[in-house]
Amino acid sequence: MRLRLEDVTAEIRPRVPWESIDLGCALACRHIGAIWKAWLITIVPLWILLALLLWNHPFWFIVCTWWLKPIYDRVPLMVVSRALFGAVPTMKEIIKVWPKLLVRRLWFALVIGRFSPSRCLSMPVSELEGLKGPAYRQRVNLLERNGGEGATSATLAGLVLELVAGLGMVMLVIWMVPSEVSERWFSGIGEFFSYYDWTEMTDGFLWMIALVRLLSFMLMEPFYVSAGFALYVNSRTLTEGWDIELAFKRLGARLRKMREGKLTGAHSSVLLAAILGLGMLLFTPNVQANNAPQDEIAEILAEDDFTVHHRIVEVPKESSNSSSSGWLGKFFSGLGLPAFMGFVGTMIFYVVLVAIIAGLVWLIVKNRHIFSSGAALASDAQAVKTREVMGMNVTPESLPDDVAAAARNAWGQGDYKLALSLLYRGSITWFVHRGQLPIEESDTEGDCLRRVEEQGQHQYAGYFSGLTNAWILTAYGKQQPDDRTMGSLCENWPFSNVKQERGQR
Amino acid sequence: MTEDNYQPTESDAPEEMSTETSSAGGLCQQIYGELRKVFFGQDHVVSQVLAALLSGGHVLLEGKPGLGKTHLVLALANTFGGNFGRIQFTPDLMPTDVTGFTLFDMKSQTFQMRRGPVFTNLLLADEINRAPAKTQAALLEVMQEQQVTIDGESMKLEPPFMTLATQNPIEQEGTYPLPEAQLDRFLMKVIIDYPDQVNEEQVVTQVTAAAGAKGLNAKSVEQVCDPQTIIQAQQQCAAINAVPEVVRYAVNICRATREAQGISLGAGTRGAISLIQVGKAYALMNGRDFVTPDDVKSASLPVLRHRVQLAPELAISGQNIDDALTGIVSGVEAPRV
Repeated sequence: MRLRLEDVTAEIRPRVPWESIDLGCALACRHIGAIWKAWLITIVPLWILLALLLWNHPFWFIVCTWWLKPIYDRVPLMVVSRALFGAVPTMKEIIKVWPKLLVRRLWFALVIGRFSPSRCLSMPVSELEGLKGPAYRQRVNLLERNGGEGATSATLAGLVLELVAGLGMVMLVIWMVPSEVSERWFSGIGEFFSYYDWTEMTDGFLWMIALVRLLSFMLMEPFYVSAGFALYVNSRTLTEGWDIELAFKRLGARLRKMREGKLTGAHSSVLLAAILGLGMLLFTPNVQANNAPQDEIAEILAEDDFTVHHRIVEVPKESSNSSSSGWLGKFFSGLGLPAFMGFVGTMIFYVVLVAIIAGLVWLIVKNRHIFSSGAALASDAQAVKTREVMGMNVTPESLPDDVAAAARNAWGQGDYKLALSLLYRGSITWFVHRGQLPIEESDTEGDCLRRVEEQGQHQYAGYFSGLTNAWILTAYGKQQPDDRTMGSLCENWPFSNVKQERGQR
Repeated sequence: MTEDNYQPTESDAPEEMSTETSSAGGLCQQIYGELRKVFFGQDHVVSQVLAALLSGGHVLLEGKPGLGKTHLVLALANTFGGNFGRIQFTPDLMPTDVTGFTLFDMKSQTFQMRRGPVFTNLLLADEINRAPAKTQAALLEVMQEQQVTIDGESMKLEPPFMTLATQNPIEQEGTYPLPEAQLDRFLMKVIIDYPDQVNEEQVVTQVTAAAGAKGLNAKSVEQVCDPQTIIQAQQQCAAINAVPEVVRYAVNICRATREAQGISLGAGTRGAISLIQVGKAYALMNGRDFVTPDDVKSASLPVLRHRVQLAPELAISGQNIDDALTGIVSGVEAPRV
């Protein structure tokens, strides 16, 4: 379908960016019904399909629906762009075009151009003009000279307004429900901020977030796209002189009408002209013209005013800098950065961006305790294999070959604490290195016993419980167990020699 | 680390345990058993309150309304035949409403002393944060000094004296939060949460079994001892042995709270003292005459949770003080013996 500039339904004139955005919003307002109808028959079924596919993964549904925004934007763009030229597309036309809109240039729309800050301005170039590659980049760079910053502002404002719209909807619903229910909802919203990650959220809660997000998309995207389109039109008006072209076209049309009007009155005037001409021939003297008109014209044209002056201005050669940065320029222009920033500006932009990201990463790392559970407050100095428990060295190398014999020997010599310490240390060493028990350096005797029992090592749990009691009594109660108990602990020593096993391996 | 179910038991009682300790342990078991008859599903609350009684400390109870706080205190008072007093704190409560005052008797032309509700063994200060700071200070002074001064006349409170102050975690509007310095006076902060399904059903069944929902009466607990016995148990508790390594462990825990990231206010020395006090009580309740690191570790949450303050960034992130403390304690090396 060919759109004619003279059919445009808005006043085409050079505008500042905010005026263009205003025009875009007015356009969206005027055609919002058509836009939403088109949205309902194209985007909503797509959402339903996505929801069915990702029914058990609401978080990913939210991510997908957000990521696909450039696809949705094609629908309001189609409606608004045609509506500007007085040809609002019918539902039939939209349905016919939708499959093509859905799959066209997905890689570019969803990956390369997805995060362009001036996406709303560059989108008509790819979608309406169908430009690709260097031609697209050149065109976008040209158009962004007049409105690139406006498009970036529109993107930022769109983000904020989308959030506001979402929150507004939630608040509106909360105000409508009884206070008992709304209080519960408020506490639910409060809990939202207490989640450490999205996996803690319930599916119902995530689906509610998804619904609010979709409604806010539906509400805000038409305005965002329309604003971008108006910026695009304005940029073209400035660069291509649409307003002048339009003025000339209108002038031409008026003159054509005037000419046609003269022709219709010709019959009545022919006779009058003939009579007047005859009369002039009969009654005027035969005057011979002194100067032919051609001579007079030549005389006038020879005057200084009509002399064409030529001035040759040397175009400065491009510096080596710009040539060396050609690949960079191309790279940056592909990312949709406004061309007005220039090479140096672009470099500064990226340096600042990298600095901000690095700063954020540093802040997150520095304050990681905020995002982690309380356990992260503990010391980081935790070896892969614990070397010390309760101040005792629990490496196999620190133990004698025969722990039970050494303990018996120490007991015989009256060193009760050493005897029990050997047994206790030997058992902990076995649990750490052989039993793969995750004992930490901060674990107390009770913690160790609990871990042994929880790990299900029942054949050792009974012995270890008795040993722990004896050890606690000796270490903290300053009371040694009787000979019978100690003898039993040495005789029933159930643990193999970790050091020997290591040596054999 | 857990604070749950640190119940009186003889399972780890040494054979050579002293007779006094053994009898005190038995007494604890008896009181514990009686309390559990009327207070279900909150075993850790019972054991912590009992530990505070044995340590001679005061307890700050925090829990939503209707979880049996008054019931617990009344039952505890009945187990040793002690007096029970209750003050409902309100914004217009005056210090003299707590401590008492002198009144001029026109008939006898003399000043007569009217003793306040603090003259009791167990005092329930309900919703302590609803009264202004002046009234709170009057009570906290009584708690600290265990004596009341009215018109220049000082009177000692009858031991055992224990205050159980409650705070409601909701409806904080219009309250006067206790300053950190005054919170420190409480030995423990005990959190009462909802009981589990089975216990809640049991409570409902038993309460509604009698006319006017008067079942599960706190007065139905049997008196197992007298106040004098409790005083003796407190003395035995104080005599429990804590080896230097265990004391160092308690101090290290408190110091770790001061050095930890995300904590704006750490526990003071009184925190470490309280840890050992409660550790001793736990040891006594378990029939031991010495404190183990496990006793101290188990006491760390109720003893420290009201003495430390989360930094704003951690509080905003939704972490609670118990998570932070658990992390800190798990980073402190167990004692070197």
